[in-house]
Amino acid sequence: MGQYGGVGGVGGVGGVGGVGGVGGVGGVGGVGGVGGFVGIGGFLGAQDPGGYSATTTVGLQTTAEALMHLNATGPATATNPLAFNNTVNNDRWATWVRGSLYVSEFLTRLGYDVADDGTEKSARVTFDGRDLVHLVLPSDALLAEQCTMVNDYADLRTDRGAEITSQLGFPTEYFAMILGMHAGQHGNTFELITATQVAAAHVAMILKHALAVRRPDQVDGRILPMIPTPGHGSFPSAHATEAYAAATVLSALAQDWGGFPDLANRQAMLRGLAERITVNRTVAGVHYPIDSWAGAILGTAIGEVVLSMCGRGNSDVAEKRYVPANHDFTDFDFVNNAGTMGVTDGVTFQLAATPHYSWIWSRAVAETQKV
Amino acid sequence: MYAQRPETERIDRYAGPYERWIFSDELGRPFSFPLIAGAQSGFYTALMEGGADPVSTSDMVVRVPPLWKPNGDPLPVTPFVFQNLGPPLQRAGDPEDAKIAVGLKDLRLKSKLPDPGIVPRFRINFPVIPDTWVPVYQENTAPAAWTKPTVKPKAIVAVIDDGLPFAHRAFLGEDGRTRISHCWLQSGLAEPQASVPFGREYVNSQIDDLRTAYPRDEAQLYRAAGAMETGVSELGTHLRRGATHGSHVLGIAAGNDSQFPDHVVGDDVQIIAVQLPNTIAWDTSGFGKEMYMLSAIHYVFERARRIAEAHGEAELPLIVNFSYGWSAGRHDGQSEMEIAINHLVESRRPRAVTEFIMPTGNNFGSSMHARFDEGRVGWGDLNIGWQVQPDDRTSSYMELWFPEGFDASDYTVTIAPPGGAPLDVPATLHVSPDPNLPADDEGDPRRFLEIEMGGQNVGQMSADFHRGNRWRVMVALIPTAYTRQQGRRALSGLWTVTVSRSANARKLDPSEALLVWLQRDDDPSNLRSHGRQSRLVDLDKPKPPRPARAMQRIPAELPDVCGYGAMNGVASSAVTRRVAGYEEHSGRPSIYSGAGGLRTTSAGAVEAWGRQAEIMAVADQSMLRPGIPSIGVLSGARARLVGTSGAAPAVARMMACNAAAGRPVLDGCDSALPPHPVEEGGHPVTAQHAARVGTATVPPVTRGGTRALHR
Repeated sequence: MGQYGGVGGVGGVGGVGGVGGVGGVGGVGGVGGVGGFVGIGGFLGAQDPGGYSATTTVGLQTTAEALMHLNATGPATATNPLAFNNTVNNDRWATWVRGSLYVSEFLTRLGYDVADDGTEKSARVTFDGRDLVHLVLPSDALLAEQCTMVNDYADLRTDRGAEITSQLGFPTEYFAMILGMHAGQHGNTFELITATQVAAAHVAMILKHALAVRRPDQVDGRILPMIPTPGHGSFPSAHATEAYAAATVLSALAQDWGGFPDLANRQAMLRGLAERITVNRTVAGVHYPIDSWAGAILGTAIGEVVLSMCGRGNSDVAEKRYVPANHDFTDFDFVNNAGTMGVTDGVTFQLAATPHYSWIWSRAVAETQKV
Repeated sequence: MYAQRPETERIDRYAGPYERWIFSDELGRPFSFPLIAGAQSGFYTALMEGGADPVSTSDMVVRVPPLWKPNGDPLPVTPFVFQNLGPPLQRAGDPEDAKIAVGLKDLRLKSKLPDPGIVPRFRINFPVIPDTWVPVYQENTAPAAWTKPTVKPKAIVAVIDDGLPFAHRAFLGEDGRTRISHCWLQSGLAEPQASVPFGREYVNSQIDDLRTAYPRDEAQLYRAAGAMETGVSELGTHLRRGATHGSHVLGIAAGNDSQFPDHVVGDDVQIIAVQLPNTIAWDTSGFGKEMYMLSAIHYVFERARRIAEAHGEAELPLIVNFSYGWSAGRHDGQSEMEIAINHLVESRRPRAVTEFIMPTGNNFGSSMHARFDEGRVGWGDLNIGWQVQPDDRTSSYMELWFPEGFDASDYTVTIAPPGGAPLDVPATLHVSPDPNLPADDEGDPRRFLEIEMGGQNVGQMSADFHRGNRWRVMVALIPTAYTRQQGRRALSGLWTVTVSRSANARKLDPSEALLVWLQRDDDPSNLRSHGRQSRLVDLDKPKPPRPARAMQRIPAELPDVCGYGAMNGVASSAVTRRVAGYEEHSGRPSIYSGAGGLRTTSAGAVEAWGRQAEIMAVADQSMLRPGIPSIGVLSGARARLVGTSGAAPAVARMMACNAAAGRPVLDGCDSALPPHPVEEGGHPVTAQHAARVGTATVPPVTRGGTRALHR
């Protein structure tokens, strides 16, 4: 018997390896490729090696036994410490560990409250104590009206089926396509996108819980969605929130990269992609257009928050309030006609930078295409 | 159960059996196109035969769309649109068929011409959506916003289709301005006043302004232009799709794009485009399209004249592509549409090059046509199998045509449901006028028989002396699925249509035959009609193999149910250029490509009858790459379309380039595709081959378009 325990223990190690397999999809480059996981799942297990295979585990132990006699005897020598509470260590941490850091930085500043004055129910998200986004609960009559639009979009399901089913999780590949990104060159940018989308998903889930809006197919039996009805409320759309947050952050990043002579075209496509991802969920039959409005508002605000936390100079955050009304959603209206379609602007403010978001931002900016 | 109408309220006095079926509540109306089956709009499109100008009456407000009448000569067929003011009826229940009939009474009276004494006939088409009805129609005007193109046009190419991306960059000239001179969206949202009676017209400067206003967001451009609107069913959001039939066809006919590098359409070719109602393909039987189609052609001719006049010319060469059609019909050039097309093109040809291009259709292998000659009909009762598929949620139609002028009074046609299921009353129809028609009836001689089971109507049989010179028997069946909240359906399965005749009945001459066509019944544009195609079954003869795949040989014998004669039912005008499709890689006809009719002579030779395919163009790149590529809706999008609809515009493109260069329109064409080597040395199939490939072959116009590999 060797010093690492009996062979009998290997079976247990093998089991650990199995757990690692669940979370360990992809590594850094694959952060965006964690199929089907959203929310914190975007970081689940990234760079977590789990355990080794049973054979490797046994092999390592027998090799260790064979090498042990080459060591000197006596106590181990003390080393110097790692930097204390310092982002210089971030490189050492596995991606999923940094994921916890981003989430903590974000969530410790996040707050929400709800209001019901008898005529209007609403939920509000705050950040660092500032009002961020205020969503008013849509009426049941409005939801029924919106079902007509959802049905109108259904004929696009054949056109967009591949997009819809491959955008069930975070659609990072679609953003990567626009910015010419590659796993070997843009690991930090992928991580920034995931950090942004995870933050956006968390906020969306809070509001979805508070406002508790039925999905279109739970209102109108003719919707018959082409994908599973998600296990959370309809309003706001988390896909819209994530897509608009990612587009906001990436648009700024691409600008800071400084390498694209066609930057304006790419930024236009980033917006177009956010709109496309958003509307695809209505095509699929799981979101009303008003969900897209709420999600686009929320996502844009979260993108601005992330840019502020990243310490990107002069990144303003704009407070918004949305009272849903029976309009279709397009990015054009969101940019140009929001004021007549239920969106009210509040004050604009700036937030303090935070260490971990600033760390990943500086790394992502270094992945410029200008080389 | 069909309730007999008072004589004055019978729509068949003025129109045909399709109108009776489609507009009658107990017959096909509940299953028809949603716009008809739903609330009555009160606005209708229509055609009138007889040479008079339709005018308003106390019962209806009539509008005539822009017409091309160079000398003011009467038109054989005139498209018009009317608002039915709802004259009082004897019958309760707001029946649409009766309202239309009563409304047409005065119009017919007013439109009778003493010479040559023609009683006007009508075709009543799709309603017009009130949102698209222009409040103030400025007849005989054109939009003042139109601007002269920088380059003087030498030819005009026109496309009539659905879902037209009129702001696409493929239609910009070298100067960055659109080459689309005029564009009429027939179901566009109406403006307060316009030069078209319904829909919306855009001219070049307006399209340029839209492109300037929305430089980055074409989807928003179309929304802002009123070209995309969920609330208007016939306009809808088709331009939200990745590709449409019309984007593909317009691209091939007139677009400049990296996909068409070798056949650039110059700035001296202007474009006129007409977008039919986007849901026009819902009813694939073709019902209700004619007024939209004919008014589109008139619009093209009329606006082409204005372009020419602005440049000091009387007319310019004009190439029109119309990738549409239906499968049944007379196929002898004498349907209303074909007469109208022939008249227009023949009248214009002395003035300038004028070409009208249509596809041969895609039904060669669909068992939708049959031809029965005396040898077959004289054999005894002729049993024709009609396989109607389950879960077909639209009406199914069969047409049986006797030869022109043929006295069919000793013939009967009987229909029997599948599996011996009984009808309430056996359905045997005499092919002769109903003796109960009133003496003053001025419609075509006709009679009707309802097909009823369990006290409910499941179909209609009719015999009508179509346009006063040819007997047609038409059978309509309701859907085979319970649908649209109706408690009746037709049985699916093998229906039997039996043609019988008495001993002294008129026999068919050697060149004559009974010709059968089924109407198309599917959903090619994903309009959720849920139609399913029925087919013909030859019950008396085993079916010989047909050339279904590339390396199969053409059989020597012509079966009665066969693809020869399965030709676009609107393309039989003498002037129409009929375009068939072929597979670029193999150099063989596309397996579905419609063909001219063939018959076997008493001497055993195979010879052609009727209009034949004339020109071939690529419809498929290869068996593994079906279809050909073109542009999609948004600039940069691509699409692939399978069918002769994509072949026809390649001919239009080449003709337009040739016309602009002053060359003969078919300059640069190859001769007919030779038979595939596999056919050499076997039985003679020259006629079969010729019926499919015509006499000329247009080179491929899309990228990768090397000359076809014939060998």
